[in-house]
Amino acid sequence: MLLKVIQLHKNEKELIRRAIKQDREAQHVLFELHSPKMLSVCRYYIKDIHQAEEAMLNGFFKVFKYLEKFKAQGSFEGWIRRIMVRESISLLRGKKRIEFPSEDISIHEKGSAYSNTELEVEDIQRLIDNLPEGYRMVFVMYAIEGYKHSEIAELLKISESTSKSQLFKARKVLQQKVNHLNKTGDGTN
Amino acid sequence: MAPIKFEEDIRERLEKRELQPSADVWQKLSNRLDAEPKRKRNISYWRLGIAASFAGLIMVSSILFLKSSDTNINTPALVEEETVKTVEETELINTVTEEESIQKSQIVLEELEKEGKNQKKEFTPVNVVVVETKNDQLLVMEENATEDTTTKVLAFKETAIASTVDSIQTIEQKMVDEVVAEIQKLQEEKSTVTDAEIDALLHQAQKELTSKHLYDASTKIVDAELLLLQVETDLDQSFRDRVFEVLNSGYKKVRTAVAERNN
Repeated sequence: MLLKVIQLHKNEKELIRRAIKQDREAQHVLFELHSPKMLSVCRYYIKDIHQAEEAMLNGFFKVFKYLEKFKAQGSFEGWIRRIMVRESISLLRGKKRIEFPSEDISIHEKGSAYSNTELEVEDIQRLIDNLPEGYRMVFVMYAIEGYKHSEIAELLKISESTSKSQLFKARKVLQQKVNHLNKTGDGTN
Repeated sequence: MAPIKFEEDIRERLEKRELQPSADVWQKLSNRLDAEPKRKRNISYWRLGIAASFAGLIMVSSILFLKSSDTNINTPALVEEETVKTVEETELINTVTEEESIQKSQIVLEELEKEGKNQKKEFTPVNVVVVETKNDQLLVMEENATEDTTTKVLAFKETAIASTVDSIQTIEQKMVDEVVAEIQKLQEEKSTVTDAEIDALLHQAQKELTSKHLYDASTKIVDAELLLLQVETDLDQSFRDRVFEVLNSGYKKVRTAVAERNN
């Protein structure tokens, strides 16, 4: 199966062409190839893994539904990824109103810079998960996905200034938390 | 710079992460995709229906349009009226010239009588045929019964009365004249002219006529439409009809003229 997947991966265009014609096998291969990465992307935004999976499923459904609209100008993964981000935002919006806190979250500890501590992926995810939803979304979109503030503003239906301020605040909170982690880590060691 | 370094670091780590979805996720997705095409197919049938109805509408409208345009084209009824008019005109001209032709035929007969007297031969005209063409060329054919099969033909060329016939018609007319002359020549030579001979003459004339129409020597252009028409027998038929018509009408006129004169 793995060999088959690797062989087919070499011919992604052919797979896409077949998937457009609703070839279920080709769709399955594409799903197998991209779903682990895409679930991880959805997980950036959504704390609950089952909800993240739901967002991913919705995303893949749209991928195969509108696959013929995919113009092979960019990478296929990039195209799917943008769909996943939208679906994650959509799912969060559907659940509840996303809040973008205007007030600073109280900073108890001072810290001018991030320490160079080697954080595990789970720790990073936990740090992101603990951010207020608005902060988290703007931070992930800007720092991880590489969206511009104008794009974030459009997708989240907020102003660019709000996007910028949300990023600033998210960074601030993350800094505090990393510093806190380092301190507690030092303490344990 | 520090936040950027931190962000780069966490991006790298997060990008390496992969989360394996539950085993049933693909099945769920597959079921959803299976359900989707049915709806799509329904939509496509619906669209197909609309497209078909549009196509039908276009066909019906085009048929109606063509019919209406046909009625417009069928105004050749007017053209036919015009041709009838021209026929009437020619008939009028014929009636005008009829008197002249009667006079002419009288003169002809008088002359023939004179000739007959000079030759001291009995001259009793039995049958005189005047062939009248549109150029008002009169071909008078006379059969002298007493002198067996000898036939004297006198042709009169009248100055053209203002005629509306075009050059093609005049060419045709010339052909008619030529054919009639040929028949008369044959009559001179033989006692009887068979239908086959007349047919052959008509066929030859027909050929010449179509070739003249086909190729214009002055412009060196071959008429493609006429080339196609050559295949059709309609023209052949009309030309033949015209020859017989002219022969017949001319015969009747002269017969009545002679009858009146005798009276």
